[in-house]
Amino acid sequence: MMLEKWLPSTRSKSVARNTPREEMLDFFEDMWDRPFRGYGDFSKGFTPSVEVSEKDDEVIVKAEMPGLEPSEIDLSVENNNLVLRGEKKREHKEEKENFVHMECSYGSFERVVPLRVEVDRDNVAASYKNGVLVVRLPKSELNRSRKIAIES
Amino acid sequence: MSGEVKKNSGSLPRFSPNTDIIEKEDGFHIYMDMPGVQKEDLVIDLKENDLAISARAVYPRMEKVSNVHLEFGDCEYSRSFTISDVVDRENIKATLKNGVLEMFLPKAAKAKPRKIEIEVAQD
Repeated sequence: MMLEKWLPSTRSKSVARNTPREEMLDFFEDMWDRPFRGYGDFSKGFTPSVEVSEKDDEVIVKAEMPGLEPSEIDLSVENNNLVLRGEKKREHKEEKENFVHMECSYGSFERVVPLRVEVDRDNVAASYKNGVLVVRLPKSELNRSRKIAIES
Repeated sequence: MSGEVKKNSGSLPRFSPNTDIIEKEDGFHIYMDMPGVQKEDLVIDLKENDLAISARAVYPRMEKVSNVHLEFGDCEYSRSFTISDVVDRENIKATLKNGVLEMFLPKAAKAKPRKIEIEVAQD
């Protein structure tokens, strides 16, 4: 399992990586954290992985959130960011000594997804299926791409 | 998805799903995070001592989409466990809910802890 460190990973840690300093801190955080994965207490809490894609008229955000109920997910659009909040709870509340093996992470999370364009916040639709959340945010009128006819 | 195992050329990236295993008095509970998996795409195979779980998460293709940021996508999950004789193979149960596979592997009756009554010897 330790070899995983040397293999390419499709997961990046967060969308908003602002400064080289933060990036460096992330790197070290990751370096200290890795050897302790699988020992619940040391590893970080749960953060959903996110996918953002864009169509002509809408922005689609998907997030992996296994083990949550739709009612436990809190979504909001704040300052042109989509904010996902929630808590991934253990289905099992057992005494520590019963854990044979532990890799899944739990806890409350907040993930801010920057949206590159202004969205119509009144018409956001979200669905949750098989542990994956899909949010569709229609672009506001001004931001839709529009073909402009060129007069000759 | 986590812990990418290997990348097969041409096929989907393969991941080993995050797993919790808990032992209780009556048996073992296994929880696996498999977001994006439908019941139809999940295969659980028990062959002698090997319990193999494999699944596919495939998202519907969308037309005319530009991807801005990607952290996950179509993938295969696969993981196998070796189970001991303690497990009652006939009664393994599995449920898939909200992207989490929960399996219950009951202990065979002979492996369960049993209280032994002490009889008072009468002379």
